Amino acid sequence: MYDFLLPDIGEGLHEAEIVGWFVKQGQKVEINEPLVEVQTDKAVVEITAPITGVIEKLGGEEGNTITVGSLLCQFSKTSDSSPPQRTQPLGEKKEETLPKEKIEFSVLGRVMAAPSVRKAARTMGINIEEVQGSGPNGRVLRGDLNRYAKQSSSTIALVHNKSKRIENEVIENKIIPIRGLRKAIFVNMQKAVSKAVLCTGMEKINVTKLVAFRKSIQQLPEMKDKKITYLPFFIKAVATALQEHEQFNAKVDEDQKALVIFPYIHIGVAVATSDGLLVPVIKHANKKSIFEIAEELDSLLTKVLTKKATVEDLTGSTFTISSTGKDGATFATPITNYPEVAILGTHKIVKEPIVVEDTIQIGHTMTLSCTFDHRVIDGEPVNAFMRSVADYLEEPVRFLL
Amino acid sequence: MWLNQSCLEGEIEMWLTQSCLKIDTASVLEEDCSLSESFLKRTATDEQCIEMYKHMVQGRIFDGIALKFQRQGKIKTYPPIRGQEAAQVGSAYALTSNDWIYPSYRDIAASFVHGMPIDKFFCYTMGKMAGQHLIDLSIFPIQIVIGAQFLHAVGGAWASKYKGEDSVSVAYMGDGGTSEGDFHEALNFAGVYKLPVVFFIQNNQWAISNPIHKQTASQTIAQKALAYGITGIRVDGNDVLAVYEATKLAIEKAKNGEPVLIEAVTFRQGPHTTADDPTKYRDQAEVEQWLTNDPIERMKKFIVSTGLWDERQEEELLKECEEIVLKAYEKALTIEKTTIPKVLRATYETMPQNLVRQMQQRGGV
Amino acid sequence: MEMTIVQAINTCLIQAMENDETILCLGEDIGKNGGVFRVTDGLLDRFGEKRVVDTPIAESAIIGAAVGLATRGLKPIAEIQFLGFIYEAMDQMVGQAARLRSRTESTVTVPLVVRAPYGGGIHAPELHSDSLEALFLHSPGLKVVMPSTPSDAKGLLAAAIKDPDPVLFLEPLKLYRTIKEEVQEEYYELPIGKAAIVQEGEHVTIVTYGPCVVTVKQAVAQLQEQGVSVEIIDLRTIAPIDYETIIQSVDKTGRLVVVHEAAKTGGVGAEIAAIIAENCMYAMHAPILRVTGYDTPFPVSSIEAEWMPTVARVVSAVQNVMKE
Repeated sequence: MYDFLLPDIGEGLHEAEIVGWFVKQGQKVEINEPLVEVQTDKAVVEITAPITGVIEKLGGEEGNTITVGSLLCQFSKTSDSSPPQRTQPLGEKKEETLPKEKIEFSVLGRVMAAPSVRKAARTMGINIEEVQGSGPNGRVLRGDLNRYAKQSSSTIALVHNKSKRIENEVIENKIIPIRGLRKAIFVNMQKAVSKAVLCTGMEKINVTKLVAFRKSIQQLPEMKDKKITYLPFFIKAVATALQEHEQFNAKVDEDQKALVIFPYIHIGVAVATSDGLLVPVIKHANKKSIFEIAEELDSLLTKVLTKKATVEDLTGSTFTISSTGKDGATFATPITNYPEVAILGTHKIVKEPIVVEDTIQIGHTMTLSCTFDHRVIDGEPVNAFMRSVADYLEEPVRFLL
Repeated sequence: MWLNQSCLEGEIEMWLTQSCLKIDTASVLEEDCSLSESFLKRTATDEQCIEMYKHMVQGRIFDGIALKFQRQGKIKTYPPIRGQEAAQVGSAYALTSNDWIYPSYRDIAASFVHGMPIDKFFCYTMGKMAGQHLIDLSIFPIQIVIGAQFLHAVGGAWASKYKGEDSVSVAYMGDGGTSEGDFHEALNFAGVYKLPVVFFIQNNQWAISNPIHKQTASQTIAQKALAYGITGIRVDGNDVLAVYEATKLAIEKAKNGEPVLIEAVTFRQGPHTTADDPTKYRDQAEVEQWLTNDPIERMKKFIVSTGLWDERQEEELLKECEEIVLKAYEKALTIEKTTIPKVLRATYETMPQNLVRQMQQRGGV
Repeated sequence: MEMTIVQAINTCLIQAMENDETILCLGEDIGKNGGVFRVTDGLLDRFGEKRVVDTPIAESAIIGAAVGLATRGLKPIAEIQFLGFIYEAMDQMVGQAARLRSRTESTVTVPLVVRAPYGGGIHAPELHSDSLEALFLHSPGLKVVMPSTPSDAKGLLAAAIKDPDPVLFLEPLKLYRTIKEEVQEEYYELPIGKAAIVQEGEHVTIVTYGPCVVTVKQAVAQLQEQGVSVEIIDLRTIAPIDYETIIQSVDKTGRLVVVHEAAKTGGVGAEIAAIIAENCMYAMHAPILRVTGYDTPFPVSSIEAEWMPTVARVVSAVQNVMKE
């Protein structure tokens, strides 16, 4: 059998309409004799038989349109048919063979790093996504890889030592000298307690709406790649409240025996680091939006954790917030960041039953602990101040006013 | 008969226009196929007349089969030559093997006469590079870019003059090609350097769909020779003897440092190529008119009337020509196809680094 | 013997023509006038009108006839008076000369040399300063040679004349007479397709060619004072590009700056950057930078100095990649 497929007879022809057959089924046809007339978009064209043979099947009736490459006419070869060298007319594309192997690939996260650094990470067996980048825009540098490698080895060493200690009981005391940041904190804490008379007021507030509010912000499309915690809300609430309760935004001048009220509001945020407590500062927090505070906080925290924070970053607060986080205590008695007159501790947000107009509903509560210098502030103003802060945290819509 | 600048001497007004010229179309065979009284005398012998006739018939038989093959998908786009056999055969027949031709894609019969095997042309239409191995036959590779070959023929003629060869270079082209810049630059160079080159223009009246009167405002193509200080002649392109004699004389002139532009007036009976439909842009009446002036019919009439040819010989010839064409096709099928590695290797003498790498990426070889 | 680029080319032409009768020169004003830059000075007297041919103003004919000559056993050296004029001959260069070998499976070859001066820096009128090498890099079948020194010019021209393929030999206008150096008088060839390491270095690779080689050398002198060790590569041939030399260098330094006068987009620098991105990605410490002309047609000569790559721009680019 020989299948004569419709060739591309006109430079990029796609299909043709059968105008008229010169032959019919069963008829014997000689090579180069008229076979069929087809209509292309350019002209009416006569096609002749490519071989000598008997017509077995016509690819379509008069009036049908057939596409290039589909069957035009089928022949059965007779004894005097010359075997054609090709069964496909020219213009047929050869099917490209696709590569058979499947390749292994991994989907990588969005870490910025030069190709040479990525290669080094692979060679060192480090998952580059775990490395904190200290370069511009958080880019991972070669030095970061080296630091990461050292840390991992020191962690291993620590674990190793711990297990060792259990085995061989140590009789002597372990002596750890107080130096560096530890010493600075040591001194400051001493001062705060020795000079000021500290007292702590505590309060539990209903933050159900705050939880919802934060969640809805986090779900905004523009927040897709960012994370907003509760801290920016606390900072904004405190900074705004301090505008009405200026005596909390102050320090005591021991020599002058005066309460010095700061003309600006700089909120310090106590951060625990491996070396000790540091307090990066959001300056003019009352003038910044929650979003701006969040971004600045993020960048400050990164700086602190990568040990790139400057003196300017870590000093100048007028009021401090100390969050014990979701794994911390429910109440606390934070020590003021001397010479500031007050500090606000925020604690974990808990999901629990709440009484709302004689019904029990599930909501979220949070506790606040406000330590203050009783030499200059009494209890009632503390309640009022905490109430002010709570006003925002309980009804976050107030942030908009 | 010969047009050159001296035709413009004498009583001429200030403004030069075409009307200063009187241009004849030279012929040898009259309409009734008697020999004309004009200045082109027949020098071809009886044997030569028969040979030329055979070449023309071979060209036409080939043309008919090629057309059918294209419709069967056996070959790709094909440019028919039907109607132009006399112009192509008559001119090529006047050449020797020392001479070179620089053909376009339609000068198939001329190429056959000059020695191109028919299977080579089939190879070309099948996309096999072997179809372009013609240089040993003094045939330059077929030109697709209209007019580029004019300059190649000029360079070729220059080379033969430089080397002191007894050779002429003939550029073949159609009327459309005379509008291209390269045509003018070529004629200019030929005139300046007095090169042994002949520009053979087949004015077949149509450049795809553009008729000659829209191709140029010149009444004839032959007169363009004057602008470049070379010689021109206009011949009846459907009179194979006229073409032969004129070309023979032109070659003598060219070898003596007088380049010639020959305009052979003929007609493209078929479409531009198999992808063209001429009914869209020209009248059937014009075609009918020209069919009465068919070049093969005219020559047949002459050789029959002079007792050189009969029906039996005609039948034999037709059969022979068809066999030759079919055999050539079979041969072409056996020739190696073009492949990517072949092309990679044939772009430079030695493969540069980028091609070596690309070859390696394919898996070598 | 001390020679400028003009003298080096002139000497090479004379020596080549003396030893090979099939070589002839053609072009506008190359004979009696000795070329508008005097590069072909004296050739007409020595070899006569048959071999040193003044042509009409017809660039397509110059190249087309040269193709005809080259395919009939001769070795034509055609001159295009300024590279910007080669547009008139694009089909003969790219449609004809570049393709004849591949379409005839090497049975027809075109041993043609086309010489043309290019580049800014001499306050020439419009279209006399264009750098168009990228157009010919993108034309398979052609070779493009761009020397920057007299000794390179002499050796590479000799190689171009010998090469069986069509070679576009581009001469840097700006440097025609500004560099004078010791050049071997005896005929010699330098390999086409091989870049030259002008200076070795450790920190960053600069790939350049033509008149920018001088600019780069000046910039590198400054950078050296700042402690930066630069490896300078003079491509010398644009097509085909010497992959091996540049890959080896950038694998070592991990930093690449490409400097060329031609416009940025689609220029030779883009091809080099792609080659390095394909082959040296994991060695890269910093992005690949290109210092080039702006993406505009070559401007009026009054601002050309600022338009072309300056020492300051090169220095700045290197500093940028070093910062990473």
